[in-house]
Amino acid sequence: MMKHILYCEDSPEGILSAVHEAYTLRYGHADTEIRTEGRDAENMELFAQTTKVPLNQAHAASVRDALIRKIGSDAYDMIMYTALSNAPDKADVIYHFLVRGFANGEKTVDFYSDPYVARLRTIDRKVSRETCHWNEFLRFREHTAQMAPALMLPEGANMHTLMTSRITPEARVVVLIMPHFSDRFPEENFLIYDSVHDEAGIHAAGGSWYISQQIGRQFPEIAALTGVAETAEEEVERLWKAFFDTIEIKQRHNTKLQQSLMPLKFRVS
Amino acid sequence: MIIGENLTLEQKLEILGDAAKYDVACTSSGVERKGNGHGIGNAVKGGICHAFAADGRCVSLLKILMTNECCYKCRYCINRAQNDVVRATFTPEEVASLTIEFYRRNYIEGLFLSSGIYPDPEETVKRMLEAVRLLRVKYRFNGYIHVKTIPGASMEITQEIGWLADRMSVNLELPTTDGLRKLAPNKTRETILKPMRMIQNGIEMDQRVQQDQIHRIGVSNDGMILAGGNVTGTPKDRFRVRRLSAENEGMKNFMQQRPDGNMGRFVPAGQSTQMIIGATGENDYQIMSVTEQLYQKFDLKRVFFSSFVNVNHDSDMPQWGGRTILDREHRLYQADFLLRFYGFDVKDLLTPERPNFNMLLDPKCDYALRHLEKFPVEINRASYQVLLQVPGIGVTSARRIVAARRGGILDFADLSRMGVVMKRAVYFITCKDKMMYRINMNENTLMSYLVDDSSRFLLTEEGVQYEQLSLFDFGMGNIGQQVSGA
Repeated sequence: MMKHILYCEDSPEGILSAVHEAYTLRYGHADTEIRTEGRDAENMELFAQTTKVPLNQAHAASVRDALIRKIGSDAYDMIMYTALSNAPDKADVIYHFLVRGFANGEKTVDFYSDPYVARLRTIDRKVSRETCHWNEFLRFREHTAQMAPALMLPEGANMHTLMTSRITPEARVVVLIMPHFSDRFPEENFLIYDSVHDEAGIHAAGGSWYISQQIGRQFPEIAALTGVAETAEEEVERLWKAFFDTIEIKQRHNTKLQQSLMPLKFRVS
Repeated sequence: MIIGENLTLEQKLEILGDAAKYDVACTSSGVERKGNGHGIGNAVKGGICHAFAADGRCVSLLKILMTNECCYKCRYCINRAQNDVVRATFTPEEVASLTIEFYRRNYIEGLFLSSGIYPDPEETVKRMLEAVRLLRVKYRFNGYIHVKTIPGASMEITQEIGWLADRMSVNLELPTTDGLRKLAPNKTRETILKPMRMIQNGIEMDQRVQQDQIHRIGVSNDGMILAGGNVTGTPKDRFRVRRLSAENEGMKNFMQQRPDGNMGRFVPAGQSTQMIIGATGENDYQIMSVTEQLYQKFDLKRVFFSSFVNVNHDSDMPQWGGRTILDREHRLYQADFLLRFYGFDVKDLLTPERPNFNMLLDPKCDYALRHLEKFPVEINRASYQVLLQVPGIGVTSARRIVAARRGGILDFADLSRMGVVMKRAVYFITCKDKMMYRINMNENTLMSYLVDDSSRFLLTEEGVQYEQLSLFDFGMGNIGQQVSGA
């Protein structure tokens, strides 16, 4: 049998568009694979027919609606988390999970013995854990500099301070952590910049939040600013460090435990 | 006494952070509260750790004392009255603004406020109340606040704090009255348990009002609380309302003090306590029995154990116990989880004849080895409660097993994917009525498998019975003893 590989855009909608296409093409699920673009694109396979699937919002939406209706909102969440991960096989895992889900309904998420379900759960868990970690370990710095014009904040937004944070996540977690911080800091202007995927979550005081792509390319001065502490900020950071150092019970010193609970990769300078 | 004058904020923070660090009851869990769209903050049910100190302990709250001046003479405490240490005091405004500035930067989940007692309990609590009120009212802080109850303060003021705080705790300090008399001469069991009971009653009352069981509360002249209006509670509920009033004078004012608005819950995250372990001679059985009583009789959310550190270099008291005391503390916490989440009772784990935990095995493995008649259990049939008793299976994996069985029959390979720790569980389970390996179900053999290599040498030192392993123990012979099926 000829193998069919569908390449799609690396986004939740892109992957769901390709799933829609796979169902339309009817090559047989066992002989069809979905890959995200950019991953080993030049890595040609013998005896495989490749197709590029463009993003189609309507197709993606119809798959999403069917998924929520037939497999449930838990499954939908797991698929969204998986689609935001950096797992190389995520698109194919989502596709084959959906094939099982549309056949078996809501109980599919509990099929631990199925390799695709198990894999989806593994990726989902990894992304959830990373989301929690950034909720815990992300730090904000306060800026007094004037950045209102470039930030596209609404007219009249109170701009005397802006909190920024720079993170380096493996998955595209910004969209997952913004609800938590928006709920927590309704009266702050803040910006969380993911320098790995070059995207930012932006929240205006008293308003809602949105995601902005390619901030680093469009507004390099803002991206650069997220790494900098102003003088007044250094004062607060010194206070925190003084507190942090003093609360260790020296007799219980345990660097290994500390680093297993808080991996060094979360310690941004 | 050295009074620190003109201390900078940083110096105060160092002194008062250092002074608070031995208190371990400092999680930020127990209450889920969304932001209200104004002010600052929310609370997450599971709590959030924002950092881990160099000793591996979680940093969740800004844990500080209001002041380290103290008129008490507790022998385990660095701040006792007779010590020559630098004394510092925060103003309520300093506490509030530090909390807010750290919170805005996502350093912390909220505030943990304790205090030395100076000049007396009532004045001490007044200052603490002022700081907490500033946070809630002036700064409109909606995040987590844990306030230490000061034994000896009036019920009225303690209760006022309860309406503003998420969690309160009063430290039992030591597991026995004897220990308390010896080490904390200014504190008594009574002054500790009284506020604990008051907070318990308040929480119960508040929850019942929340559940709409009692719509209106009236107070009669003799201080009895009368349930009026549409009482939907059972006769037992009504009896409890009367019991509450009989036990507690302060209950009279309880409902009247309830503030309006979003924050109007009484200690919604419940109360906790801590005990110092290793300072006095209590055994694990005594400590766990007290713990169980606290859960049952005072509805505590958590009981914490704090390994004794001899900060005052008191020659009558033990020196720092190193790994031994930390391992013991670890066993106590493991047992504490078995009580709270796994349906175990203290009598399952320890007895007066066997009063201490096995240092080589965690309490659950230890229990399983002493109850081999209950094992192995069949993964595809065992109830949730039975699964919870299997070493290597936790609350999450037990729940997953029960859910996954609906989708098909489970085998060993599926279990590790579901988070079961197979190196422990494998000796106690069957899948499709078969064990994974042939295993000699004998206490000593299993013990030798379960104790990890690093601590195996301890077997002889601790005097635990130990047998040289033979090939037969690995199931390579002796087929007659092979166990299969449940």
